Amino acid sequence: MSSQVPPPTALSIAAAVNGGASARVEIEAALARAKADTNNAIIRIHQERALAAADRVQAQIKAGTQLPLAGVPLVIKDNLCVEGIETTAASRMLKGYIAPYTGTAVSRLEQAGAIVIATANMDEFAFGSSNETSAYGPVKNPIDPTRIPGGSSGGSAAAVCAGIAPLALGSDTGGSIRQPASLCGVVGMKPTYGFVSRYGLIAFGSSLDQIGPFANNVADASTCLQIMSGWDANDSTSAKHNPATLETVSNGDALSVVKGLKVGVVAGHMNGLQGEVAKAMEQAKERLVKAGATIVNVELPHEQYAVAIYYIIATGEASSNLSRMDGVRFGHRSKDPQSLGELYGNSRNEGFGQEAKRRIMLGTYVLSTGYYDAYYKKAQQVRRLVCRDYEQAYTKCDVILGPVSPTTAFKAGEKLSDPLQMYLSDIFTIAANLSGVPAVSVPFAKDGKNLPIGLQIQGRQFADDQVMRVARALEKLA
Amino acid sequence: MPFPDVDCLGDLPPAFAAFHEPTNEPYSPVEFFFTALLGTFSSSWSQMPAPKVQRSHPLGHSLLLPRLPRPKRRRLVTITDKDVRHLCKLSNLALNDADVARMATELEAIVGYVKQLQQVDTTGIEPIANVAGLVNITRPDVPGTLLSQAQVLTNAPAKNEVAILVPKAVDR
Repeated sequence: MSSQVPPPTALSIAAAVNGGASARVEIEAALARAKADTNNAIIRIHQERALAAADRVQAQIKAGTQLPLAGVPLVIKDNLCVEGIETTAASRMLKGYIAPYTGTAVSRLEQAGAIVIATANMDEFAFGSSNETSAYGPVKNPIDPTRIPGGSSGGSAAAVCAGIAPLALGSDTGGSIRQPASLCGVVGMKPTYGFVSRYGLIAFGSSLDQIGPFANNVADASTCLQIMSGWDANDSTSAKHNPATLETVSNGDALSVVKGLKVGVVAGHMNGLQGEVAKAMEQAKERLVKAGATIVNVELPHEQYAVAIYYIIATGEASSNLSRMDGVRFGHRSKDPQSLGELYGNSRNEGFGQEAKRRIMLGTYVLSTGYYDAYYKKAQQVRRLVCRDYEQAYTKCDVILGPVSPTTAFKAGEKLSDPLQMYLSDIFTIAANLSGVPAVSVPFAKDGKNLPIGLQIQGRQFADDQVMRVARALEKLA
Repeated sequence: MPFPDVDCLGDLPPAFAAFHEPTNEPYSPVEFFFTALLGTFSSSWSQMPAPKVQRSHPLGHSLLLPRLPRPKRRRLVTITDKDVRHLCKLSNLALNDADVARMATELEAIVGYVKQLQQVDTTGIEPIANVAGLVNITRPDVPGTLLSQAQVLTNAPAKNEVAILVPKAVDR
């Protein structure tokens, strides 16, 4: 589906629609592209709702209002609630669930003129790194359909990659935005924890989850992030920060931010990389230095424990969050249960897929009496050490440059049979969730098979604007 | 009685809870006592290492991961079928026998991996739950309506006009 001509950017569509071009025509074209999806990236199309929204946007503009995302087609991950739309987290468990309200992030984007055209496929309940655990079947990487798009927001990444929409939303608990962005060659950003309200996001790991944007370029992603972020009374963990600083990310010379910038690199990040990924890292360092940056070696000594910490904390939180799926108030209900216990047990056994069950069991194990201190509490302690590592590193540098994924997109089915190997594909992305720092994946190079390689910029907590400025520079240097 | 009321898995140190041979019989406190003893006397057998396979780790340190699946008697037992059945009870998942056996093998590999955290000295380190340092965020104590009764009932799979229906939970 990928065309030779680069698809129009979100900002150019908004400018055209604000200038009088038809939002309806734009949305009709996007709906047609969504229908023609051959990668199983799109699992639901919201034609009527989208066209009605397009007409409303058009009317607002006629009445003299300018909207920053006027008429911009938006694809959302299937774990974001939108009133009246089926929202299933790609699970049999939530088949037929119609969200009774719209989450804050989507609501703010809609108010800014963006139009939800379709729902993207994902790993079931965001449990996966390859988008192969979905109840709707696996998503294919648009660049090479025999390969995975990454996960868990694989459908969102593939939708932007294939040009269906210029903007998509995903959620990132351990790399679920950045890794698919890297493997599909698009920009994907995980904001600082608390930057974007989680209200309306089907919870996975509540202390790790963040909603973030996918786009073809940093400017579109920054605008999307700015609009959906900011404090929200409906999410008690949302932060009182000022997203207006993101407004100037795209102003002026992209490379001016690099002059005098201290870019941290971690020696351990270079081990075990696919050759071409390591080469991309070296090139990025060279070009940043040429543009005026200084490379500083920093250490994150506890990052080697990130995957272990993550699979304790994330599964513990997931097992707790998913306990609400019991076949009573919503979701799948087993037929003819003889007792309440049978209703719970059978509904959950029939509704959840294999990976969801595995994580629920693991989470239950680490939280159970006698194991809590040895696993969950221990993980929370080492998590604090990871946070301290970052604080220490940021006394020496402004941002940290690193790989997103050790390899480019792997073949479908390659890691499905070995959960642990699958978990290790998130090795470079998880620490940002554990410490809550902002991180973005920027497409930088391609390997010998023409598969994209993304590089990651991480920054200090709430320096999301700085991270995006550096991402814009890296985009220019790619 | 499918399980005793006490949290069996938790009442015993992991080393003891780990030595069950997989059976389909439910837990009993007596059995736990003997299992604990068996664990004490058979520790040399139980410490026999599982076959390992060397895999490279992207962060540079080598990983010794248990090979999947492994021969039952030779493995360093950490999670048995019986443990998984107990987890099924705690998490309200009715797995069948084949899934239980597979889950035991998979969980064992993952728990074996995450156990590496024990190497980290965390003396005096406070656990962290919120990375932004937020504590006890409350809203004003004012009643409000989020969803109407009709909205709440919309997604319920079994309901009447005013309530969600479930099988009888209390015998009179």
